[in-house]
Amino acid sequence: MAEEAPYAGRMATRNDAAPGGARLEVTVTDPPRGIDLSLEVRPGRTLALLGPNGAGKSTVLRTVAGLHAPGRARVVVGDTVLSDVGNGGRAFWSPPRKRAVGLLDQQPDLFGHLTVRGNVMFGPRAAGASRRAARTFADHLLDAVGARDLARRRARALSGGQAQRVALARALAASPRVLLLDEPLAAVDAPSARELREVLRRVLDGVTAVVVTHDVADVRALADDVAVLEGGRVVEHGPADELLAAPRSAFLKDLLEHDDGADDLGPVPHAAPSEDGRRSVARHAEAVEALVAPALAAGEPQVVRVTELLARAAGEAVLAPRVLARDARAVVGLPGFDNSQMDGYAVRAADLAAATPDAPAALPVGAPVPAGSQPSPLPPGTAAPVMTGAPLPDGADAVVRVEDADPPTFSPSDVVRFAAPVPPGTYVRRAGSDVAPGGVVVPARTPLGPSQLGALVAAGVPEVVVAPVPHVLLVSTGSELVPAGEPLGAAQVHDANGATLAAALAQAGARVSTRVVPDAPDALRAVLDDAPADVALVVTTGGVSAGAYEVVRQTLREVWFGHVAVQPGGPQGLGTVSLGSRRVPLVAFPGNPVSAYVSFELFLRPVLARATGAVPARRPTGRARLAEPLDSPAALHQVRRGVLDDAGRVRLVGGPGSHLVSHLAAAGVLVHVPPGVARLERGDDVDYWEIR
Amino acid sequence: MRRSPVTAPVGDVVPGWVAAVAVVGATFVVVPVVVLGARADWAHLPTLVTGAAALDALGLSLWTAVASTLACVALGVPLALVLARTSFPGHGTLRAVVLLPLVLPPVVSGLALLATLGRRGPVGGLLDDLGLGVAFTTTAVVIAHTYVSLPFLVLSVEGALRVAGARGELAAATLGASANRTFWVVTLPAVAPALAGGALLAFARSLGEFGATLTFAGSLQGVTRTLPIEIYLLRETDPDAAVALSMLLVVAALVVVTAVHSAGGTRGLRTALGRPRG
Repeated sequence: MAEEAPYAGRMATRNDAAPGGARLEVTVTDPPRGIDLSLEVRPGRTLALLGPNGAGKSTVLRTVAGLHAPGRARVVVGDTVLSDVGNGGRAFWSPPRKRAVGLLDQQPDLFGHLTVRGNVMFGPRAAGASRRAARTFADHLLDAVGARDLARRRARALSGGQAQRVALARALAASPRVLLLDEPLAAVDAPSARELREVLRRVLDGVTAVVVTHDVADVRALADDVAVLEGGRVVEHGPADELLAAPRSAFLKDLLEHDDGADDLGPVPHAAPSEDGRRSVARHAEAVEALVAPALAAGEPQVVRVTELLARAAGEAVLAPRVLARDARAVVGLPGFDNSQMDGYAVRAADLAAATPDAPAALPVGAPVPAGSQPSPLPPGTAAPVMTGAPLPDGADAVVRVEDADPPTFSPSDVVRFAAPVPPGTYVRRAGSDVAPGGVVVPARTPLGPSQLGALVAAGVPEVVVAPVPHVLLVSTGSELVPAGEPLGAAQVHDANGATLAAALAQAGARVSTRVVPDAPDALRAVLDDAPADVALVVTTGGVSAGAYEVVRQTLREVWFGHVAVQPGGPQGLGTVSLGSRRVPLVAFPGNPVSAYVSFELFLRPVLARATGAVPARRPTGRARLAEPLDSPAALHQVRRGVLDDAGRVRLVGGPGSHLVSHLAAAGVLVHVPPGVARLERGDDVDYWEIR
Repeated sequence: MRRSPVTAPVGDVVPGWVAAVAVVGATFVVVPVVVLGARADWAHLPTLVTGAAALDALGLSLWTAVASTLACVALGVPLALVLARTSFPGHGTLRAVVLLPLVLPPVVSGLALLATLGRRGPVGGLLDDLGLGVAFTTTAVVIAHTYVSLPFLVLSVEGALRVAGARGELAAATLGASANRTFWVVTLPAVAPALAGGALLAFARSLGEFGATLTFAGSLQGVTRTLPIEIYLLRETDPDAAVALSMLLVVAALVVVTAVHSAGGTRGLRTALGRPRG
C-alpha cells in the first residue's frame, strides 16, 4: 500500500504558516439593481463592507461567489479570472465549486444529517483527500474555532453560535483563497457573537476576506480596510483605523454615533428585524437606550460630601453606589510623604556604596522611626529602624530590608552591618507617586463603591460631583388594579407590576413614584399632567395591545407602539410625552407581570444601571445544560424563567408566557432562547442571566 | 433545529364542533373495517387463506409490490429532483403529467399502458418482435403498479426537496463539491425520511392496485392475479374466502402504516400528504 500523502489543503491562516490570501478584484455593474462599483482587497487583508440595506453589499458577495451573474462583472482572485461577463470578448463564468471562494452566511446551512466533523471534512473530501487526511485536517480546524469537543455531535443539534463556528471551520477546510462573510454574527446571540468574533479575528489574520456587517464591533475587531456602499456605489474606501477615526460618509458617521464601543447588553441577539415587522430585541434595546440615556444624563449633577456618602454607606443596609459625574481630583498626594515599603533600616545609599560581603558597611543604629509623626533627620553614617508605611527621615534615601541586614532582626544592637550597596530609592514610596496632588483619583463615570470611597478619603477629597438619581414615574394601568396594601373589591387584583417594577427600578438606582390609573384616557392624562416636576422618565405597564381598552396606546398618540420579536413581552411602546413644558421619554411595557419584568430586564435595566451606577449594567451571565427540553417560537427571542438545580443544570419554572407571578418569584435565572431556535433538547446548552 | 409538533388538549386549540366532526370522520373510516372483520369466519380463516390460489395471489402481490417500489425509487427520485430544482419550458406540464396517474381512474391507466405496451401497441409490438413482450406477464403487473404508484413517491420527495431548499446544495458547491457528490452526500440524505415515507406509500398503493393491473396484465393465477383481483373474483363464488383474504390485506395495510410511523418516516409521510398537489 502506498504511503498516504498528507492532505495538501492550505490551512488558510497565517498562524499556521499559510501562504496568505490572494488579491481580490471585483467590478460589478448591475443596472436593474443600480449597482456600479469596483473594489479591491489586497492579499491577506479583511475588507468590511458597510452600507444601508439595498446598497448592493450582498450582490457583490454573491457575484464573487459565482451565485449571481450581473449584467457586467469581472472577478479576479490572484491571477485567476473567475468571472468576466459583459466586458467585450467571450463571456467567462466559473461555477461556484471551481472558485475556491468560501462563503459564510448569516445562516450556517450545515448539513444537518452529518456530524460536525463530517461537515468540516466535506470540503477536503470533495477535493479528493483521503478520509483519514480529511479527518485530521478537520479536527485541526475544529480546534482552531474552539469546537473540537462538538466533533461527534449531529450538526442539526447545535445551537446557533456553535453551528456558526462549525460553518466557519467547514468554510476554511475547503481552503478558500478568498473568504466571504455575510453578516456572520447577525443570527448569533451576543455572548456567542463576542466569542465568535474573537475566533474570526484570529483565523482571518492573513486571509483575504470580505465581511458584510452592520456592527461596528465587527469592523473594529476584523477589518483592515473599510468600504461604504450607498446606492450601489462606493462612497468611502480606506484603511479601517482612518475611516473609524474620521468618517466622511453620513452612513458611517451615523453608525459610529450609535455605537457605544461595546455591546454591553449581555446575551441579546443581534438579529436583523424579522420580516413580519417585528423589531429585533437588540434594535429595540438600542432605541430605548438612544432615547432614555440622554434624558437620564441631562439632570443636574449633585455635589455630595464624601463624609455624607460614608455615613449613608454605614447607615443603609445596602450601599447603592452613585456614579461620579466628574473626575475626582486628589487634594493631597498619595502617599502624602516619602515612606518605607518594608520593615528595615532607613539609610543614605552613599553610606553603603563600598559595602561588600567581605567588608560590610557597619553603621550605628539611630533612633527608630515612629509611625504617625515626623521623624528627626537621619544623621549621615547612621541607619534608623523603620516600619512599613512609616515616614522616611529626612536625609535617608533608601531602605534595606531587615532580613538583608546583619543581624537580620531588630535586636537591641548598637551597630548594624550591610553586605551590599543599595541603589537610592530602594523600598521607598515617594510622596505623590500613586496620585499627585490635583491628579485624578477616581475618574468620571465610575460607580463609587468601597474601594473608591477609600481612595477619595485617602486623597483628602472633601466632596464629589455625582450623577443625579433619576426620578421615574411608574404608571400601572388597568381598572382592575388596586395599589399594594389596599383591600380588594370584586374582580380586583393588587398591582403586582407596580410592586415588581418599583423595586426593580429602585435597585437600578432610581427614585420611583408609583401611580395606578384605570382604563380611562383622561385618568392617564391627568396623572401625567400632575407628575412631579423632576421626573426624568415615565414607565407604564399595560394598555399597549390592540384591544378595546388599551389606554396607553389610545392616549399617547406620539409614542411608537409595535411588536418586538421577544416572548414574553412582544407589545412595546417607546416615545416621549409632555410633562408640563418638558418632553420626557416614555417606555411602555405590556401589562402581564412576567412580560413587564422581562421587558424591564432586557430594555431598561441596562440603561438605568449605566446611568446610576447602582448595579452593574450587565447581569451575571452563564451557560448551562438544560434539565428538560423546551420549545420556542423560531421567529422570537424567548426568555424563560428558571432555576439552576443542584447539578448546575437549568430547570424551567412556569411556561413560555406564564402569567403566574409565583413562578416568576421562584426564578433565579432568565433563560435566553435566541431567534431561529424552535426546540432545545435536554442537555443542550443555554445562556442565562442571573437575576438575584 | 427541529420543530416540535404543536399538541394541546382539545378545547384549547381545537373547537368543540371540529372535534365532534372528527369523531364522525374516524367512525366513518373504522366501522366498515370492523364490520368486515366481524363478518370474517375466523375459525376457518387459516384454511381459507392458505389455499393454493390465495397463497399464489399473496406471494405475487408482495413481490410485485416490492419490485414496483424499487422501480418507483429509481425513477421517482431523479424526477423529483429535476422538478424541484430546475426550471425549463414545459416544467409545469411535465409536473402535471407525472402526477396524472394520481387522478386518472386506474382502468384508464391500464388502458393507456395496454395501448402502448400491448401486442398491438407501438412499443409492445417492437418488444414482441424481440421476444420481450410484456402484456399479460408478471412484468406487466410490476409496470402497472409502478405507473400508478410513481406519483406518490415523486410528490413526497419533491415536497421534501422544496421544503429543505437549495441552500445546502449551494453551500456544498462553494465548498468545491461536484453535482454528483452533492447529490449523494447532501441532497439524498437530507430527504431520506421523505424518501422512506414515499416508498412506503408507493408500496401500499401497489399492494392495493386493482384496476390498472386487471386491465393491462389480466388475471392469470400465479402470473398476474394479485390479491385484490383474487378477492374480487372470489366475491361472487366464495364470499367467506373473499372476506378472509380482505382481512389479510387489512392486516398488511396496518403493518405498512405502522411501519411508516415507527420507522421515523412520519416526517416524510407528513410531507408527502401535507403538500398540495398543484
